[in-house]
Amino acid sequence: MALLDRPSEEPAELAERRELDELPPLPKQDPAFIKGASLAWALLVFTAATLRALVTPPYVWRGEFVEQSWLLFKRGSIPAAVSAAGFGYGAPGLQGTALVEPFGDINRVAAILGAATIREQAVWVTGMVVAGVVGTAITADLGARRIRDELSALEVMGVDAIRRMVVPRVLAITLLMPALGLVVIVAEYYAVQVAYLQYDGKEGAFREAAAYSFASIDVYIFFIKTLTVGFIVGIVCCFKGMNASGGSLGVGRAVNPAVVLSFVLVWVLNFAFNSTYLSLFPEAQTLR
Amino acid sequence: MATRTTKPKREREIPKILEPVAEAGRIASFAAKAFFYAPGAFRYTAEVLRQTALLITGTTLILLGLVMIIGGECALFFVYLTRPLGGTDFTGFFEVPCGIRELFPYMFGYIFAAKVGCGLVAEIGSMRISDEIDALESVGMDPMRHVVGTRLLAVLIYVPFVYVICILAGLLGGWLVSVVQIGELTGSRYFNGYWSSQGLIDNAISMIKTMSIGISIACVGMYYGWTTRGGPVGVGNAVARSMIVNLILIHLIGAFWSLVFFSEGANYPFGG
Repeated sequence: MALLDRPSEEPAELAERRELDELPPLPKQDPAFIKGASLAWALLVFTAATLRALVTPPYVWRGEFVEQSWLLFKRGSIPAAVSAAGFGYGAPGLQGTALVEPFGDINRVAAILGAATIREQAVWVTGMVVAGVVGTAITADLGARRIRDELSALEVMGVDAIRRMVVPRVLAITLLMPALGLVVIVAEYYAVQVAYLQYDGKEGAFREAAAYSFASIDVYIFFIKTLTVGFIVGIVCCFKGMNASGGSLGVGRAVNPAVVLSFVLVWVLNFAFNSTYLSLFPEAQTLR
Repeated sequence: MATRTTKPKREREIPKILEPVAEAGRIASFAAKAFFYAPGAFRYTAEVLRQTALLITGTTLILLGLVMIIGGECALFFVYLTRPLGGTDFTGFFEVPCGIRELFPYMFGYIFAAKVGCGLVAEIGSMRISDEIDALESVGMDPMRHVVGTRLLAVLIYVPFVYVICILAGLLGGWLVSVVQIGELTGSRYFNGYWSSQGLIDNAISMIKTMSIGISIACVGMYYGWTTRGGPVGVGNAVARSMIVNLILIHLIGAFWSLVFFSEGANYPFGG
């Protein structure tokens, strides 16, 4: 938490000597916006390098990519399913059914399910799980390699670390995101159904109403959005892991801003995307 | 800790499928111990206040901003969902079930876990592997009080105050999106719908949810920091593992309180 944000203070004795010009002055600290801008620029350069390594031969990342994909899916699928089940039971399930109950037809909750889950919640919940579970693991892994100088050893041997380590991980997260999103949608469907059955609903009616509520444009947008979110989370987490510094305690310090930055980016992106998409495609507005 | 057995206890073999249950038990016993030692931390009032101040300066702004975004998401969703039905006047009403009852606690939990939970693991884990906690013990200060108790008290002080402001920020986010950005309804309609449909009970339920989420995040974070081993690499792994537990716990606690409070009807101000 906050201990990490604290600027490192000099001992009083040293500061005194510095004032008496016995020691050279400290290097000037850049203001915050310059730091932010240089971080953004470094991220862009890192993204460009990753994309370049992705599309140019030799494609040495293929084996690692398959391995990482399976590892990350194994690690992320159970937390994603449990989280989505909890989320779907409370927010769209109980609240949604209670919302449509006074109007006399609780089957309409399935319509809320289609619009709310695919358009909004599946992306958040998957983004949170991917950034929190998978992204942190990747940052910790890469950061540990950086701290133990494994990455420098790779560079000495002439192996491109971005090509070997970053590209397969970013690609794995990017493709993992829609896959886990499907897991989340299925889990939320059953969770909402549980809440619906509490209100004496009928299972068949729910299934029928849910089948009508899925619009194809929502599904396309869902895939585009999850791929984008996955790419961003992967880039941010790999960037923070590759640039871990600060000696032996740097790994823990690298994971924290990585997960905060990816959470913020997921939310901002999701909001910007949704407000653009909903105003551009009026056919998404109809309530089925 | 005060008592320490000289002979290490033999670990019983736990089947792999039961490992999450055993982990949950360890976390729960650590949390119980933290609460047992927390009253003793009042002797370090200055440290408690310092930790609270660090929480306030480091975490409040990002919490407010992100809760504002989720309030905006609720408004955005509802405006576009009900525009064909002509029901957009109820956007302010929808902030209550969507935001206060469900999503503000979740959002608070996500950001609190990312910023504070991870930070606690990294901080206490660093103390553990650089033997600072053992050093505290050797000079006769109980680290359970001075490290864990003070931070738990700081979280207990911090969460309710900031969460109240967060609710207002979420309300403001909904207003920004529905009134300023989309221009679907007037501000007075929005606030009228909101204030006429929210009750004290909604805010109390929301506060209960958020407090339990915040406390469990703090306990999980401190447990993983406390049990860090394996050098610098171990800290990173502990942070990653704590996030898994935190994310699952946030959703399960939210669903649990929803089950307790809302399964017998949701007390909306309309219908029968």
